[in-house]
Amino acid sequence: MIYVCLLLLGIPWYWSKDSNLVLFGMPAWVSIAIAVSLLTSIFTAFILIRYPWHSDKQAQDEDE
Amino acid sequence: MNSLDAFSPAAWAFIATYLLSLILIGFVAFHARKENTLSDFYLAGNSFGLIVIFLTLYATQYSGNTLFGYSGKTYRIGYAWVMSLHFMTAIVACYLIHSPRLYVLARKFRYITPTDYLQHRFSSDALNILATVILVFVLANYLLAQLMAMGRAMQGLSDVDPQLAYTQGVILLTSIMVIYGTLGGIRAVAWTDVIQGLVLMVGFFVLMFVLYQQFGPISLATQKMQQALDVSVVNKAVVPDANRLREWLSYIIIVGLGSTLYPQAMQRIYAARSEKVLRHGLALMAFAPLITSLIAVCTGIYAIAYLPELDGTSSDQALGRILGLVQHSSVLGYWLVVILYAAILAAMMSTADSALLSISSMLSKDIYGRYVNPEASEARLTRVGKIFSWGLILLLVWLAIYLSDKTSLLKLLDRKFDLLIQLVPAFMISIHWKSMQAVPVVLGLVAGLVVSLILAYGGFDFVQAGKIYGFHPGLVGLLINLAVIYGGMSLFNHGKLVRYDSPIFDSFQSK
Repeated sequence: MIYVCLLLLGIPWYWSKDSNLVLFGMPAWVSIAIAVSLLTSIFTAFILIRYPWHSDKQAQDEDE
Repeated sequence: MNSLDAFSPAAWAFIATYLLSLILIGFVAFHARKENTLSDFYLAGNSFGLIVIFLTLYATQYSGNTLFGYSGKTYRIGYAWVMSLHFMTAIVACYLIHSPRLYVLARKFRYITPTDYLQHRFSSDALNILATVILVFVLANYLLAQLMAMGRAMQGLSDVDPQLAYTQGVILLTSIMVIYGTLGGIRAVAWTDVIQGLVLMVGFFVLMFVLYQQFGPISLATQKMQQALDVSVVNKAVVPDANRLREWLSYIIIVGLGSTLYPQAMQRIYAARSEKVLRHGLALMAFAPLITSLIAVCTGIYAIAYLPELDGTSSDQALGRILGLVQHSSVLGYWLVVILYAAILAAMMSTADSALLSISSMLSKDIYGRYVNPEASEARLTRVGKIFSWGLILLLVWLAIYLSDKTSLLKLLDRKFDLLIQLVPAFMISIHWKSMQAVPVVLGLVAGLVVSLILAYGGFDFVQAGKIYGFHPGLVGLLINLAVIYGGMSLFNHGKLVRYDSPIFDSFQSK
């Protein structure tokens, strides 16, 4: 669900064609797309680091 | 490919030292082997730690195409190619779909190749052979593109005639790659990937530094684009149209899913020392697009602003032209370009060596070992794999030289993601859904391939620039593929969809 939201936010379908807004030296829609990419990276890394997969879980269970 | 002045003997000595160090690593890896088995040769005995797994994933995923191709593509379509950041990030997210289960299974049942999973899950010769043929074809295509890029990278760096330089470059770099690859197997490939990955990462930072030094902040380039008199330049900074936005979505899906099914990517999952190492390696990879694709996109933007004269066919020279300007600017600029060139060669070789090793593992284990000589020992299979590597590389070197001026023919062959994504159900869905049977999966795969290829090559009016309203034909093929599988599952299981319980080992053992 979070990935779907990030996808919807990252692709600049909701920007007006006439937008000339510049943010951090780039068109604002580009800066937002980069920011969403960074958020996706952080979220993915969080999932990977925070939640162990099967074998780690099993190893933890065996330790307990 | 480039507009640089010929390198000086000192610069060549630097490049030569770097290339020779790769062969040296091959010898060290050869002596570090623990046993003459497939697992040791192709997976290094599942011994990869965090740094090795991260850098080998990084060096394999980011090829010479990331630098030349992405900057060229940005030059053609403008800021919209920032979509490359999204699809490269999507690859890591898509690993989450199947890697957790695949890693556990691979360790428990000692998989070597991707087809080992299919054999275990479906026990279907038709599926094994079809999947192996698709994977080998896709990888051979990918490898050929890397060899040709190596040849082009060498053009113009010396006073030699460009065509001769191309041929010499292909032969020299491929020889070095195949020598260390067949000497030390995945151990040599991964260790060279560590060096190549580091050189590549340094190269990207050097490139960003060089661009800033030469042209100033990116805001100046953006301003130049927005104030340009040429409407086509202005359009490269405006919000993309609906067709481009659909293409954006299509790329995220097809590259995200497809790249995780590259055999070399799957074999790196198998080769990790532990699950924690793999998870942390992938977590680092999640940030790689920000230091790689983004810099390539910025290079293309600087080229639009400061080298507006490149036309469509020469737009892939954007990076070479930019480097040419930097090379002439100062002694520091000259040496930064030399380092960057080492990084470009590193990117191409590290991608190509992994592809070659994966092809050799599939041909020796999945075809020769399974169907030609099932009694063959592991030592023999390893030897046969090396012979396949040399045979295949000779064929591809010949093709790379023969096709050097036939780019239209190459584009015709390049539908790798459209083909690769048809394997999503066989690998990524079947690992979760127990009720998927071999016959519907094979039928779905065939249907998906046929639809994708007909759409891609059928000459239909609604297929523009190889896409259907912005979407890759492979995605339409995948929908048909899934529909056929769902129909088959309904027939075999009376519509019941059953998931594997977690943990997965028990379900697979009871099969």
